[in-house]
Amino acid sequence: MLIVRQNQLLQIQYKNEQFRTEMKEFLQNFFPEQISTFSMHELDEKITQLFNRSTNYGLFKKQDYLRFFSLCMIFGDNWEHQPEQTWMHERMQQNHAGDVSQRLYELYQQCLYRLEESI
Amino acid sequence: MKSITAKPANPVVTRLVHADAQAQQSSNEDITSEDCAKEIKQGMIRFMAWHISELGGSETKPDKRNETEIEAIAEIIHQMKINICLLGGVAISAPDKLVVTTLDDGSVFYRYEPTDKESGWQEANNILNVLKQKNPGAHWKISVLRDDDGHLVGANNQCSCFLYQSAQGIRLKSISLIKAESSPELKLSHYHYYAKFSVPNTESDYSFDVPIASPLVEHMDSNDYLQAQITADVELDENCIFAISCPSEININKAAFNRYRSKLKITYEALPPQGSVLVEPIWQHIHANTSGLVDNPLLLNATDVMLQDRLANWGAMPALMHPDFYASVSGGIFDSILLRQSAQSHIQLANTRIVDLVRACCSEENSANQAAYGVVDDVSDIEFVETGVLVSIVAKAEVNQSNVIKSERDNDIAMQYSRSMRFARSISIHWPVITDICLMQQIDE
Repeated sequence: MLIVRQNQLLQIQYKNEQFRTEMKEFLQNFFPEQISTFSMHELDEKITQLFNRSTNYGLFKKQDYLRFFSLCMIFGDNWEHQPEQTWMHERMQQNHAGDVSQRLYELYQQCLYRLEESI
Repeated sequence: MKSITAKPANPVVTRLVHADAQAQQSSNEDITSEDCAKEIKQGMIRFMAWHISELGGSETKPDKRNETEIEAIAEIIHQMKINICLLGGVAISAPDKLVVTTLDDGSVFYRYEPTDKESGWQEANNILNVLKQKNPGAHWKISVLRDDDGHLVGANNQCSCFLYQSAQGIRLKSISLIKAESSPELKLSHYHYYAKFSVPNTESDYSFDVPIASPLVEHMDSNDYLQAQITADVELDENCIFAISCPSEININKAAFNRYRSKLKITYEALPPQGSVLVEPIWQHIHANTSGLVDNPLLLNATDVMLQDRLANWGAMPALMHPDFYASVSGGIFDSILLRQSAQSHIQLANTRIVDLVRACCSEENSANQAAYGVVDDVSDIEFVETGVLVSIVAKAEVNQSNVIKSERDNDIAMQYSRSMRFARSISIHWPVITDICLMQQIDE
């Protein structure tokens, strides 16, 4: 039987809080306009929602979460359902193109190139 | 130098670039686990890519440069504290020599004879010798790619060679020719020089691989020859540095440049505000790119001034524009150092910039007086360590030139800038690009 001690639970809770604070700071620093209308509670919910979406793609590193959150802030929360952005979803699904971190990194770079040419 | 065609940066791109920089700084760990790995910076080497145009001779340059120019090139490499330097534009053979034969009956025959000597390679070795004198402890070495017959491998009568300091344990593991993506619009061919360096870690026995790729300029005549030289078992690494030097301006064809970067999975980076080549006047550009234009109207009829005037089509020409201030001098981006990077890369580039050869030829007092001369620096956060490093060499070069007329305006700042620009052009049309290569190693705690 697996026993989880109270100390371990506290440690996980502490890590979770720390992670949320870092994510909030990140969004406030780089995407203040996108989150300006959110209350603290709404922002908390948003982070949970983005976190769940990113784990659906198999992301599990802090670096990847930050990249994923940035893309969601620019292209919208549900970019996989938007016709113009389906290529991003498809790119993330291409299992043969390296591991998920690598795919996200390349998608990020691709977005930068496309955005630069779009002005 | 300012870039004439630089578009305003897209604020969304800028924001995403900054956000990604923050993401890269954050640890690469699984957030569900305790700190199990830590990335630490292990070392830094400085890399320079310099397309020294026409080193070894061309129709307009002698196959042997004078001593001051060779010394100036070596001085720049020495003063910028370069560890590895890619010298491009090295002529494979000197231009054909004109041979005049007078026969017994007095008739004179002219013919061009091809030259076999590796003039560019000899000049590169002259640079190496000066570097060895300047810093004997660095143990400078030079390497170039040769085919099985011992001939230099290159296209369009140009090749590239690598200079590196071996004293710090830097070793050239291999140099080969590989096939990767091309960009016909930028005239960059499929064929790339590919050198793999080994750089030791100062704190352990581990050594890093630093691969450097440099595309050759597209040249159809050489394709079959180059195809035969490809090293079959060598492929482009996931993490690799690209040194490119285009015959055309990169920022004029930004879409093509972005396609090229995207195909090679090169990390996005905004183009720098500095140019690496002084932009030529519009009519020189049109003439160079349009066939059928009369180069010199005097050839039509040297004595018919009216005819020359009619055919010169003066009406279409804009008034000549001479910049009054150094800040108004326009530069185009022809050269760049890029990084192909995977999500977990041990290589990062920092402080990538152009070395300003005009500043290098100017004394520090003049640089301090730039404000008076109207220089508004658009890259003011850069510390130009090259300022003034060539002043003594420029003075030496002028002493050797008998046709330099001394005037009372010699101390005028405008005059000194003009002389600096002339000397900088005599060294090379392309200016060098430098970058700091940061090598990281992920270690388990």
